[in-house]
Amino acid sequence: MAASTRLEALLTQRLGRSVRAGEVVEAPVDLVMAHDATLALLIADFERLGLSVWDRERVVVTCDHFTPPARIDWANLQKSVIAFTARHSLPGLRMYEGICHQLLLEDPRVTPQSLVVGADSHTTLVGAVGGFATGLGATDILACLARGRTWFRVPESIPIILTGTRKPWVMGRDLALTLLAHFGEEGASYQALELVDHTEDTLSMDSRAAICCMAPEMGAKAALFIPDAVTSAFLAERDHADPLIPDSPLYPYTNGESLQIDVDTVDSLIAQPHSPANIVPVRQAAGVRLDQVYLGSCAGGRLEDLAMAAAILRGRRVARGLKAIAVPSSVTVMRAAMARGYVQALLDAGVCISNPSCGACGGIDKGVLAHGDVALTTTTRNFQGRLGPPDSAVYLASTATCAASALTGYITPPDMVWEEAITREVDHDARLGAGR
Amino acid sequence: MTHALVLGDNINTDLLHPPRFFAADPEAAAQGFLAGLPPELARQFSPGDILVGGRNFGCGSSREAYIRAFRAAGVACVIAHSFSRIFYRNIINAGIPAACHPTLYQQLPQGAAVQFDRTAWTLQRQETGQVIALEAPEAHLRGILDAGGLLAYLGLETSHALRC
Ligand code: SF4
Repeated sequence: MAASTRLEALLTQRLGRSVRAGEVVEAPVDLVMAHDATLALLIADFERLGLSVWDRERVVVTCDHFTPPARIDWANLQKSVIAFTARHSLPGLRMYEGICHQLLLEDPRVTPQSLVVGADSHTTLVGAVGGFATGLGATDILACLARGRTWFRVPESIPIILTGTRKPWVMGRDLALTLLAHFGEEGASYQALELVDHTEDTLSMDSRAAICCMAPEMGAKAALFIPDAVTSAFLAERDHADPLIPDSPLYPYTNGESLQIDVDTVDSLIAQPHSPANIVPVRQAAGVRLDQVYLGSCAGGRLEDLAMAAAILRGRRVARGLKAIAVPSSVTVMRAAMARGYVQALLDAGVCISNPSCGACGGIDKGVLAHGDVALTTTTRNFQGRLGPPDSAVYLASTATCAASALTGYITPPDMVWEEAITREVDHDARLGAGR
Repeated sequence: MTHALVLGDNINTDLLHPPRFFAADPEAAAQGFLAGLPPELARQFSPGDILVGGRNFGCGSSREAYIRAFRAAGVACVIAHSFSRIFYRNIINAGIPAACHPTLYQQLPQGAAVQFDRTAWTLQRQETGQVIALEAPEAHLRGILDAGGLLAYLGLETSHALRC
């Protein structure tokens, strides 16, 4: 019997035998990613056990969480990570080049056929190009570094079909929030989201990454976009080569109903404190006074996001006294944003640009909140205490909503500041391939 | 006698161990144990006690700093309605038993005196003598637990004294 989901097909091909959802399999992996905050947790055990890395070429180590470190203890942790890569002669050390998942998305070794594991929950982002990518803890990653394989319970897949036409200010992040509103914090537990993009304008790879990134907030093990023309164009541009796209990209999804989302009906959404699934229309939260607006993280901060922020903020100023911060998700993204004038536009508007990194997203680097602060961010999670003290509060929304709100200093639906000129600039950037 | 600290739904890793306590050193990481919860609640936990939670227990971060904190705090076992997947793998990889029970978190009084039996996968309440059957992890995961954690299970480690 043919595989009925893309993940079954992928694992069937990889293991050379028919694989079904629900079974536990041990599979070889293509790439193992660990970053400064998670690799640091396994080094002592790895060395104590006298282990060596199974394949040095297949390991990506990023310094992105403490970047550059603001505290001595974190500098020490990062030092131990750098030393580890030197001791084991790992060529894949990426110093201060950007957020781990974004660097994987930009890595030519990540293809629609890949199986990638990362020592971080948001590794699911990498499924935007069509493969299987999931997050594991440090101990699983330690074993994976030594053995090049790990076990999985093959997840059931939830097919999600996207159709319709987006409003110009509706971004991938709003679709992620739509899914969060549908599934809640655990509605997709242990399952995989398989997304089919049949929307009129198609979603950019940046938007797809934003959606796949948020899958763990719904409990999902993985999320992927069925490879299509957007995938081919992205891979061709990224790799300067003809991409290898799997045939028959559409599966019959015989195992259950698919979820249909008509993006015409989606407007800007926002996750209220303290859960990424506490979703309401932005309009309903409008008027909440903000101390900080933060653009960045692996769920935002890509070129498409910076293009949107620049289009909204160009020639304007952020509200007085507001802490407005933008953190590009990688050096590659930052270079492109500089070449296109986005960085200049944001600086002129009064936005502080920080270096490509996780920044405040993980609550362990620059941009953390003060007591009582209320922030609006594009980051992944707004759990109580993640970005600051327990009495601070975080709202999550798209870059368009964040940029509009930065102008007023209050939560503001983007259509309230929207003008024809913004649509023109966003469209122009899209044609340039800003979001690819 | 051990006691149960009873928590609710969606207890995430930032509540169990806020990111500001991130550290590789177990003693430093231990400072953050349950530090995102109301202090009067967190204070009720003593070494050897068990945690009881609701749906989606441990959702959030993959960072095993919280596992170090769990070890240092002497968490004997975690019982929840359901677990978030990375947390579930992490805690079993660390050799700390995790079991499911759909309604225990709604039934058990806060601080109830209980005895966890890791062979029978039951919990006995001291006050009433009631023995509550728990849903054990699947065989593959019980194998990891019986070995004392993933590294021992894979033969990467021979001693049960994991330090991570
Ligand atoms: S940007 Fe945030 S969610 Fe993404 S890897 Fe960094 S800390 Fe984690």
